[in-house]
Amino acid sequence: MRHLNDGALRRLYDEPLALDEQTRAHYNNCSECQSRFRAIADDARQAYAVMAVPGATVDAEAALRRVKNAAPTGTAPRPRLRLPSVRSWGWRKPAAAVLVAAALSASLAFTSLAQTIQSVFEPSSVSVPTTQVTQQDLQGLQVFKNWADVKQGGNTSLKEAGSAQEAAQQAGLPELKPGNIPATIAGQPVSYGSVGQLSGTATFNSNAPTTLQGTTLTVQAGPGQAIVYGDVNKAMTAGKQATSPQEAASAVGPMLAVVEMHGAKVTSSGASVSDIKTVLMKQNISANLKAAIDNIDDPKGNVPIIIPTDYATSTPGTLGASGKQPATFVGDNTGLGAGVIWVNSDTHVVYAVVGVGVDQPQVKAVADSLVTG
Amino acid sequence: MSQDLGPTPTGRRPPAPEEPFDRLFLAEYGKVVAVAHRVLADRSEAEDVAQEVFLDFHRKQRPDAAYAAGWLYRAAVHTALNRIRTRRRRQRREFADASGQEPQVIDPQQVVEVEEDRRRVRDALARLPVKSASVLALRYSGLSYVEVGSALGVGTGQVGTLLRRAEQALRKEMNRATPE
Repeated sequence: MRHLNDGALRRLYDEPLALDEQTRAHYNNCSECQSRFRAIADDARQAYAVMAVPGATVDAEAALRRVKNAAPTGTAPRPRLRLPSVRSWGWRKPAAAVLVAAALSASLAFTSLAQTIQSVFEPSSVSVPTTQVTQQDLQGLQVFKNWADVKQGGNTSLKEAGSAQEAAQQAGLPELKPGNIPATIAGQPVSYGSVGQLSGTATFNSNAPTTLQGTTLTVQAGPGQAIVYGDVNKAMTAGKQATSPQEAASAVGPMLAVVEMHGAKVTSSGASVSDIKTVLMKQNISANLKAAIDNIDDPKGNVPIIIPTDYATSTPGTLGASGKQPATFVGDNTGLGAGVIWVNSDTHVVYAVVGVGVDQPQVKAVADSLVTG
Repeated sequence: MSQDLGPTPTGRRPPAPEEPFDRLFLAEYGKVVAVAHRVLADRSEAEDVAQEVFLDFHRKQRPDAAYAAGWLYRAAVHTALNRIRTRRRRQRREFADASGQEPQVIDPQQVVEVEEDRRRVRDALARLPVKSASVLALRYSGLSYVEVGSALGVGTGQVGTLLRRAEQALRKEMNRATPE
């Protein structure tokens, strides 16, 4: 029999009976394993000793009362709606192209890759720069994804609300009062929802350059709220099953989402933003994307939105009666959907109006009503 | 109901509550606090973390889910690690702010040494990869290999290897931080 590996020897220290008889028999007759065991046991004892904490007791019942007082009444609701996200729809599905735009600020906040590269600073600019990228860029950035172990603390589930007012209360944001809803949308069912503050971490692992290893980027985004005109559940099902954008749009029917949420904010526990930029820019990506990454810590602040050229387009524009609110208009390449994204420079809140079966003037009209108030 | 900070609650148990969340809470609260306590070395803050974790769980998860306990342990260790990292940053800032100023309070030497040891350990823990710090906190707070594996999403057979590596890494970090 081969010698016991370190893991087995470590377990032997804690749970000797968990190892099978053959393993223990080998150990009992192997001086090399016994010698390694002693070193492992010494390390274990020392580590345990340095992490020792004073004993204490807790009052679980009193704690339960505190938690129940702080928690919403009733049992925890099971979220039934989900915002369409870039990840859930998949980059490769042409049918999802329409909803790439619909992912809007949600895509910024929720996709781990986006989280780690796009929003190193809280949005503070008056514009929303966009960056058109290619599939090659995205593949280059996949390397970066392999460098980090990503964990998400929140989820993208919407908590349903009975009204826009209730959604606003849940999100702690002003109530959304969109106007100029297109006639084709106005008759659709309306859903209201909110999403709490989401968090995620990306910890650079041993695949990453040494300057980054051990650094943890922590992302916080939200809370946010949304009003969705159209049948969301039907859209999710139909969108996943469709084989073409036209089929998806036909099955889904006209839809419009109005979203408001606090933009993503990322903090780093170790390597500086400069270090992170340096290694990102060494990837095999376009000059366009390199420039966007290089500007990520521009003192003026940025919220770069990466839009794949294969699926969507973006153009700058303005909103509001005075035309002073900079915004980015996005659309899928098939012309089936349109959206507009902007940031309130005072509150750093990201807004978006996106839809399927609507055109750019229609989403602009809705967005104008929100900007002008 | 009082519980030791460990895997085995002590004392007489009252009748089991009917609500699944209540049952889960009473069964796991002690362990969740123990996990956070092992990271933070501060019982009061550990209870804050446990409350935050249970509230988060209540909002998002089903109390009867099979993964509930593992979810809670993992959330506790991550939340606690985030807190010590935040604490480190704050202390660095405060140290920087205070540099050049005369110390305002002089503690007894022993208190200083204990605090310093505790801080060094927590600093070292904060520098470890999350998985390494997690496996140490989870195991040392009394969870079995099966529970640790479930919380970390790895097989039970891997826990020993993770622990061994984490202990080596912790020793290295502690040595690095020890003044010559």
